[in-house]
Amino acid sequence: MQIPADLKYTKEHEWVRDEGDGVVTIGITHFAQEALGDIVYVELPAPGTAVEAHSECCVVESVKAVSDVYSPVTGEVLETNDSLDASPDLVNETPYTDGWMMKIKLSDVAELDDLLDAEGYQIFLTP
Amino acid sequence: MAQTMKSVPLESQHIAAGGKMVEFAGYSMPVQYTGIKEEHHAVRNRVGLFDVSHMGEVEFRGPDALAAVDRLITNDISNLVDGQAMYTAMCHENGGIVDDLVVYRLAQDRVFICVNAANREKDFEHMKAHKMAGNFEMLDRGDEFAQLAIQGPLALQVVQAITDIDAAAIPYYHAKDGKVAGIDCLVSRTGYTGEDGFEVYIPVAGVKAVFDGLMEAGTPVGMQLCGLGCRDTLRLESKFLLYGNDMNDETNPLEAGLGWVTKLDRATNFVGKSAIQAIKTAGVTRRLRGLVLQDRGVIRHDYPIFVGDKEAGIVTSGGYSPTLEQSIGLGYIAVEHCDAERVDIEIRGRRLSATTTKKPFYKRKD
Repeated sequence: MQIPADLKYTKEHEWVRDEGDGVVTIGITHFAQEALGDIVYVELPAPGTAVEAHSECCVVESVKAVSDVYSPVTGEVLETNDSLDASPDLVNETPYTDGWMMKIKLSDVAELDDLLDAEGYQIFLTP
Repeated sequence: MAQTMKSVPLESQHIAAGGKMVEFAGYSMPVQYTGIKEEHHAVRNRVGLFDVSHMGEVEFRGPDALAAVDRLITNDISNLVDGQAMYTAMCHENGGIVDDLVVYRLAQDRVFICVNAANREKDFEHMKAHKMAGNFEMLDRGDEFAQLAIQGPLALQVVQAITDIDAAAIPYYHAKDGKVAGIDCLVSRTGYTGEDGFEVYIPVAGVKAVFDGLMEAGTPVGMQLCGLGCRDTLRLESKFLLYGNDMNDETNPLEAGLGWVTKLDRATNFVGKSAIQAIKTAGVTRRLRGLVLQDRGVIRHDYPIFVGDKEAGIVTSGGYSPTLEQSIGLGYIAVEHCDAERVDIEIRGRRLSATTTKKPFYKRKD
């Protein structure tokens, strides 16, 4: 199970990369993409959309089912990953890099302290 | 749930092979091994092996077996020869569908029926309740048989490698008794994928030997273990209906597009005949149609269908087609709108455009 040490995590299986200047990149974890199976469509919000921590921010369709992705943080969507439109399978192949979903401008940088670190997420995943 | 779930005889083999187990119809079943898309393409291009041991089997035995089954089903059993199979619906008195079945005439006095796993008890109770008087017995043999499906263009080659019968000589929708990996089985040229293939009914004690034999014969030609996930995408592309989705106790065979297996002009007064005749006379109120989503997204079960501003129907099966690389589905559309070439399907509050079709989404080239 890949859990990069430099990222933060949620119990809903999203990852967060702190880009500095109050901006984060988010996506779903290796565990999440494996549980979903083959991803065939990612419905992303328009830039400028306000997102709230623990609320739905986008939808992932796999062959099997439809699943919500919850925003790990509160803020505004700055940019979304357009390459997922043509290649949603990037989320399966490289969930932490090319499979990123969106960049969010944080409302409150302190929210990052509420997230799990890699070790905490690893413990959370351990049955 | 874990305590009450039934397991198939090959469960440990599925787990060892990386199968992701889920609950289906009360059984713990593999939904996928390496991925639904990969498994789907393996069946379309090479061959896949499915464990479908959750399916039920009922046998009618005795001099009146054929007549007894004829009274229970919509299709006409009288044209079958020994070893021939037939797809049919079985209906309630009101015309609602109890289940869809594959019926085998094994001999003049032996009829073998494959029923859906989720309907095993319901079907047997229905058959008992509508049993005609006569010289036959009715046996629920579901726990005696395991069933493996070998599907895809290389299925014949794989099955032939481990059987003593001439598998190529079994025509589509026929079955033959034979030894497979040394085990006495019923080898049927049927399937639920739209490809050539076989469904093999195996006494439970022999299923491990048959599984091992198939793996040994299939692995060198790229045979893939396949789960229920791709069974669903494969059947949907071929427009095979799924009981519980596309039909249920409240749908009748005419609206479900099963008129071709509903033989009203035969003498037998089968259960549901007069109700179905009345529906035919009055005309159906909705029809099942194929849907191909033209926008990006995935249509799913229960999404509403619109024609213009009018809500005109509902999606009963929906998903992603790995062959077409777009979303497809089936749904009921009100009869006054069912010939619309374009409809809208509401997905999370947005209306996306879909075309309708009466044909399968995929047909294999022979």
